[in-house]
Amino acid sequence: MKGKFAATMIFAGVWLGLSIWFAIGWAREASCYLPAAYVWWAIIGLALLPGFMMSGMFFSNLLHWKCRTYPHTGQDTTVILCAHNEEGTVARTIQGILDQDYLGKIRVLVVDNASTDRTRSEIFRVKDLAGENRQVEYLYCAQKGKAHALNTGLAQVETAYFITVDADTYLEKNAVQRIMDHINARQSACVAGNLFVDRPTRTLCAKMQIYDYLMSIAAIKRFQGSYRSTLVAQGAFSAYSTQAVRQAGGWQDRMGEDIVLTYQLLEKGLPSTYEPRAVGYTTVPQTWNGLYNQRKRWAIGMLEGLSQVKPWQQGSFFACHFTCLNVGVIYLDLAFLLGFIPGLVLACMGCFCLVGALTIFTVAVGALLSAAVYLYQKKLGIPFHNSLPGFIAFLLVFQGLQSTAALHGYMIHLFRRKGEWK
Amino acid sequence: MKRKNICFALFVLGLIATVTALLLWGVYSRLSRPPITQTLDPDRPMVALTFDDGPSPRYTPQILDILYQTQTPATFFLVGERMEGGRLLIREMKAVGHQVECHTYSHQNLSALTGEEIRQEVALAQEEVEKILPGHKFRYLRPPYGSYTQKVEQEAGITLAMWTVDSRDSEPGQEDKIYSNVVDHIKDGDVVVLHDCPETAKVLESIILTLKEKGYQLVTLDQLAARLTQEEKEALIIPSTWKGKS
Repeated sequence: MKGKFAATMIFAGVWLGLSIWFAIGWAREASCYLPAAYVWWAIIGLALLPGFMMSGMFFSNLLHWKCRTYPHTGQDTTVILCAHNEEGTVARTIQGILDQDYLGKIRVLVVDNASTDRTRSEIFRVKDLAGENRQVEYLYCAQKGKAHALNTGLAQVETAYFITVDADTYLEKNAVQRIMDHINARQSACVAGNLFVDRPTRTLCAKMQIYDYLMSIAAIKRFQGSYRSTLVAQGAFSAYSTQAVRQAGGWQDRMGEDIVLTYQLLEKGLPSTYEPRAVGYTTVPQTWNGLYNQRKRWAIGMLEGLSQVKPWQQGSFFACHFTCLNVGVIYLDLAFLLGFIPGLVLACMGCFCLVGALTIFTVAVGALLSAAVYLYQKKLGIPFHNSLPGFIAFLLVFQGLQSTAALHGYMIHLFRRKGEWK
Repeated sequence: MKRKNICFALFVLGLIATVTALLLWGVYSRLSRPPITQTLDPDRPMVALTFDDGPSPRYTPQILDILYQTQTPATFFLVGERMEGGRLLIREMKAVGHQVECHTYSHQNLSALTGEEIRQEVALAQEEVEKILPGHKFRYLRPPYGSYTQKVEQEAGITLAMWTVDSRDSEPGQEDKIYSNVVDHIKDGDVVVLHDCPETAKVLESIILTLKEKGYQLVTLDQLAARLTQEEKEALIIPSTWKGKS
């Protein structure tokens, strides 16, 4: 692991060195026309930092191209499924868990988090369909908040490992087997599953997110997971060591409760990994406003995690490295909005002083990375939708919306304003 | 919630628009500098400063600034493959009234090339400049290293333009020598060769001020050529003695 990480850093370092070498001339010319400090700020955010991150990710993912398999386990497990007004999806999600090809027993703890719709009756409708080795229990948590619901479930867990699944996430038939095989074999504190977009056929906004999950999120998780430092074991589908989570004190009532928990586990030096073959299909926001709110929450969650556990407090060098890169993401969001977009406008007017040749190199390494992740996902043999309009929207609109929402989230966190449930 | 999101997005959009406007102002305030003003007196001596090997992202801006501050028009012989990285600089040259000419595409010794290769070198440089200055046609070619043969002259398709005073500015740390190479040997009708290099950037202002003090009018190659006799022109532009220099 250390050797591969060193090789990755050398590759990314060489890339960065070459980029700086190219950037000096670029910055000099641009500085004739624009303030030098702004030019360097933009170049770092548009080319140097993303180039370093993406080239490292690309190289590391190539080094970890082979997908590991683990011996099958049949030990009993528990699934915590929290639902707040999820009448439309909860039954299907439970059914998906009951239909799992898992060798051991699965106990599903469905926590109704003060729902006011027909969630309860939907749970009871499928509860009795549980077959052999499958059991569904209904729990009620009156205190609103996902962390409270998860902790209610956690209190009832009796197995060594458990899995969290969102009420709107449908699992592939062998997802539980694979994620349990992984956590059991690698003795991780938590394992993030591989999420795809569920039924992305409704709106362009949903179609666009296919590629965010398929390429961006998966690439980052694989990169971090290769060094046992996945920074987010997402609540939508992850497996946890019961003892580790209890030692960490369970989930905190925060906007990004899953991020904070993962950071706390990493702080204790416990490994957090990623299992690409354990697949879940999650319902994504269908509207632009919904997506904006989600990304705002994620940004707040990231800052909550960083405030809770500072990068230098992380338990391993790798986790420290990745959390430092996460701090860099804030810089990248700002650079995209106030460097790339104005630079693009200038380029459209024939002035390539900000968005120039080096940006194209960075876009090229980004494209290479995305293509590699796409091929890797394809190699896993998991069916997923493709959409050309979605891909075009992903290229043209997604980053602008995400960076704006993230900036909004950072501001909210900065001014300590309370967000909403999810 | 939706309203707050829209308001914040509009705020960010406003911020982006402001930054963009400031950047555009920064770029175009330089590009929209008024042209260098000059009233030529035909009875006073004239010399032309020419700069080879540009554009250089580092030194050309410094040279352009000095030329603008001293209101001195000059002639730039540009290398085609370097033009892409200096689009704004080339536009600025043209905008303020400098003359933009050809120094081949890849700065090769033309004497060592075939006829077809020589034509290619000029044609590719012409293509590059037209991408930046649509419709701009080179009138003069300065062969790299000052090296040419009769074949070069025939194949180039445009007039070769040489120099009469060599500043020898490619020697590092020799600013005093460069200065004296130019000002000690200058005479009316001379063409001085300089380069877009650090030494020139350091010594250029002194050269210009001294030449102006001596009463010389600094002009472009075209302005100088318009004033030369046919014999002087031929001596400068198509030298009477053929010598394939290296």
